[in-house]
Amino acid sequence: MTQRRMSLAQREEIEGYVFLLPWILGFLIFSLGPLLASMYLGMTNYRGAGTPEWIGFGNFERMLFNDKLFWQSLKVTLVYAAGYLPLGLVFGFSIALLMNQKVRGILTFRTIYYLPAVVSGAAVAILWQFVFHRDFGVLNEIIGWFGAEPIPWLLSERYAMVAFIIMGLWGVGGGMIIYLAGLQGIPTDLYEAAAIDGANVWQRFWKVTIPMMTPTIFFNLVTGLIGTLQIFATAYIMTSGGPNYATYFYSLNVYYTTFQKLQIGYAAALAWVLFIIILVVTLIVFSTSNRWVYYEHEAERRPV
Amino acid sequence: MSKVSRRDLLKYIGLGAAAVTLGACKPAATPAPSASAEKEAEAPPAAEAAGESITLRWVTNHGVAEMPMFEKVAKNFEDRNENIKIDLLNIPGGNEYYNAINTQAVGGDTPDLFYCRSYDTQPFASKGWIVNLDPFIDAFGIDTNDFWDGMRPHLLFEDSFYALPYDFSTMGFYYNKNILAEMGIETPPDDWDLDLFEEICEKMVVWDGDRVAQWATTLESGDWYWVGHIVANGGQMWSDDWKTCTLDADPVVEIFERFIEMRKKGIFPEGGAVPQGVNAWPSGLAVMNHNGSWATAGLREQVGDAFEFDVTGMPYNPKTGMRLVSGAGGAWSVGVNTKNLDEAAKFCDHVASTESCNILIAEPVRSLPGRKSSAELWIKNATEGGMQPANVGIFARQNEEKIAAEPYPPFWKDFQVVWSNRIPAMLYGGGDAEVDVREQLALVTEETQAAIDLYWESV
Repeated sequence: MTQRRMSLAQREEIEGYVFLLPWILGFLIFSLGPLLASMYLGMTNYRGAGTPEWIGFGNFERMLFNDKLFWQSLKVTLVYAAGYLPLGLVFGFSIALLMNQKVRGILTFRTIYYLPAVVSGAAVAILWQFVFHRDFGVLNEIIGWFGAEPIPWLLSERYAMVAFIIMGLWGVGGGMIIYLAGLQGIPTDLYEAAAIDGANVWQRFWKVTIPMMTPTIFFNLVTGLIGTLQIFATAYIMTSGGPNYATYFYSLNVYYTTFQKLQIGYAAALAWVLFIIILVVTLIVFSTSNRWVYYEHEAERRPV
Repeated sequence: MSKVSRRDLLKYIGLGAAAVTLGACKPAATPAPSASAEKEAEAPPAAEAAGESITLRWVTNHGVAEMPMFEKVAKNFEDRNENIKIDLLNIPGGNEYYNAINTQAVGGDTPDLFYCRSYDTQPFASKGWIVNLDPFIDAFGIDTNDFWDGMRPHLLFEDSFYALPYDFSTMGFYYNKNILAEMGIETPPDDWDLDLFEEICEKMVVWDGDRVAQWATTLESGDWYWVGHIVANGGQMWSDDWKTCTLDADPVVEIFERFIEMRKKGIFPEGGAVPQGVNAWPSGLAVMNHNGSWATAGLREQVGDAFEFDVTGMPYNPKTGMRLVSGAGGAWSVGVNTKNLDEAAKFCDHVASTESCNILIAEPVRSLPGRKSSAELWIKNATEGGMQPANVGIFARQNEEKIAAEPYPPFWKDFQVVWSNRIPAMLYGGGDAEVDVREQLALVTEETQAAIDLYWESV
C-alpha cells in the first residue's frame, strides 16, 4: 500500500516537471543562458569582432577609475531615484486615498488617473517635449501667469532632471491602483473599533491606515526602486542624455556603450554593476522591512 | 481498448509541448568572424554549382518612397543573373538600421550587401565586418577614377577599398526666393565668403521686440557637417595619425565663437525658440535652410508650391579659401559573412554602377551621385527638368573644389556620443547660461581623447 502511494507521488512529481519543462527550457535558453553569457562577456574586452579576450576584472577597474561617464550616469540615475521615488510614493498614495472616497463618478476619476500609466513611453516622451518647450510649452505658459520667466526645461542642466521627475509623477497612476487595492483590503472593523475608542480622522489614518498599508508601500517602494534605476526610453527620445550629460542615465550609458560604441564586453560589465546595485539596494530595503512593515498574519502569530 | 485517463491525456500534452519547445530551439549563432576580411576576399569560397539558385540579402536605410527605385535596381540584376534572387530589406529609421546591422554583424550574420555611410567604413572594416573589395575592383575592371576625389578616402581602410560609392553629399543653403524679393535682399551668390554671408544674413533677420520673428537661416549642429567649418578655419578634428584630439585648438574655438555671435544676432534660432514639431524653413520662420544635397527631393515635397526656392553653396572662409563644407556619403559594402562572395561582390558592383546611380540618384535628382559619370545626367535633369532648386548643380561644383574630405576614423561612433551631448548645448544655447566655448571644447577634447586612447589600446 505504501509503495503504491509513493509511486503515485513520484508520478505526479514527474508529471509536474514535464509541464514545467517548456518554461524551464525557455528560462535556461532565453534568460539564464544570456545572463551567463553576459557575465562572461563582462570579463572580456569584446568589441563585436573576433574572439572575446579575457581580461578578468579589467572592465570593472576601468569603470571605477577611468570612466567619468560611469560616475556621471550613476549620479544622474541616483539623483533621479532620490527625487522621484519619495514623491511618487506620496503622490500615488495621496491620489489613492482620494480615489477611495465614495463620490459620484469616482470610477471615471480612477480611469483618468490611471490612463497615463498605459500610454507608451515613446508617446509620453513626445507629448512632454511639447509641454516642456521653452517658448511655446504649456508649462511655461502657466508659469508665465504668475509672472515668472520661462524655464528652459530640457535645455538646462539644472532643470532637465526636474522635468524628468515631473514627467515621472504624471505616471503615478500605476502605483495608485496598487494602493487603492490595499486601501480597500483594510478591514472596516478596525476603523470602527478605532472610532469607538475615540480616534479622530488623523489618528485613524496614522494608526490604522498607514500600518495596514505598509506592505503595499513596501511593494511599491521595491518595484519603484527597480524601475527608476533603469529609466531609459524617455531620456533616449527627449534628450539623448544631454544637455551636457545632465540626463545621461545609467541605462542610456549601457545602451550607447553597446549599440553606438560597440564596447560590448564593457557594456555587459556595466549591466552587471547595475544589477548588483539594484540587488544591494533592494536587500537593504528588505532588511529594514521587519522594522516598519506590518503583516497582519505575523502579528497574529506573535505571543501576547 | 482501455480509455485514456485525464491524467494520461494531460501527461501526453505536456510531453508534446516539451517536444515542440525543444524542436523550436535554434542552433547557436555563428561566431563573429575571426579571419581578416582581406583573407576572405583573397580566398573566395568554392563556387556554387552551375545553375544553383542563390539568394543575396540586401539591406538598406532609406525612405519608403525610394523603394521602387531600389527594386528596379534589384530586378535589373536578377534579369541578368537568372540564378540569383535579391532579398531586399529596407529599414527606414537610422537608429533601427544600425541596431539591426550591428546585431547581425556581432552575431556573425552580416547581410550580403548593405548600406555603409562614409563614417561607417572605418569602424566596420576595422572590426572585420566588411570585405576588402580590391581584388574585385581589379577583376571587374571598376574605374575608381570615376569616384569623386573627396569621397575616395571615405571608401578606404588601410588603403584598400571596402565600399563602393552610392552618393556623396555636401551641404548648402536653400533659400526662400519669395521672402528675399519681398525684403529686397540680394540673392546669395555661390562664391560668397563668411563675411558676406554674415552681412546678408543680418539683413534677413526680423525682430519682434526682443524676440526674433524671422531668422536668417536654420543651422545644423551635426558632427560631420562641422568638420568642414573647422577645417576651413584652419583647424583639425584630430592629428593626422588619429592619436590626438585637437578640438580645443584656437581655430576651432574661433569658428564656434563666430557662429555663436551670429546666433546672438538672431541669424539662426536659439535652442527652444522654434515651436516643437515645426520645421522653421518650410513654415517661413527662416529665410534659408542649412541642409544637404540629399534633402532636395524631400524639401521639394515639403514646400510644394508654397514658395519658390533655390540653393547656394557654403560660404568660403577667407582664412583658408576653403568652403565651410565637408562631404560624406553613402556606399555599399559586402558583408564578411556572405556565403556567396563572388556573387555579392558582383551585385555590389552592379548597385554602385553608373546605371544604378542613374536610377537611384540622377533620374529622380536626389542627393549627388557617387560617380562622376552619373553627375552629368543628374545636372541635366536638375536644370532642364524645371524642378526646384534650379542651382542644384552647386553641390556637384563644390565637390570639384578642395573640401574637407578626411576619412572618418574608427572611433567616430564613440566621438558622436561626446559631440551630441556637448556641442548643441553650446551652439544653440537657450539653457541656463551661455556656455564658455573654450571650456566646453576642452571637455569635448578630453572626452574624445579618452575614446581615442581606448581605441588604440584595443588595436
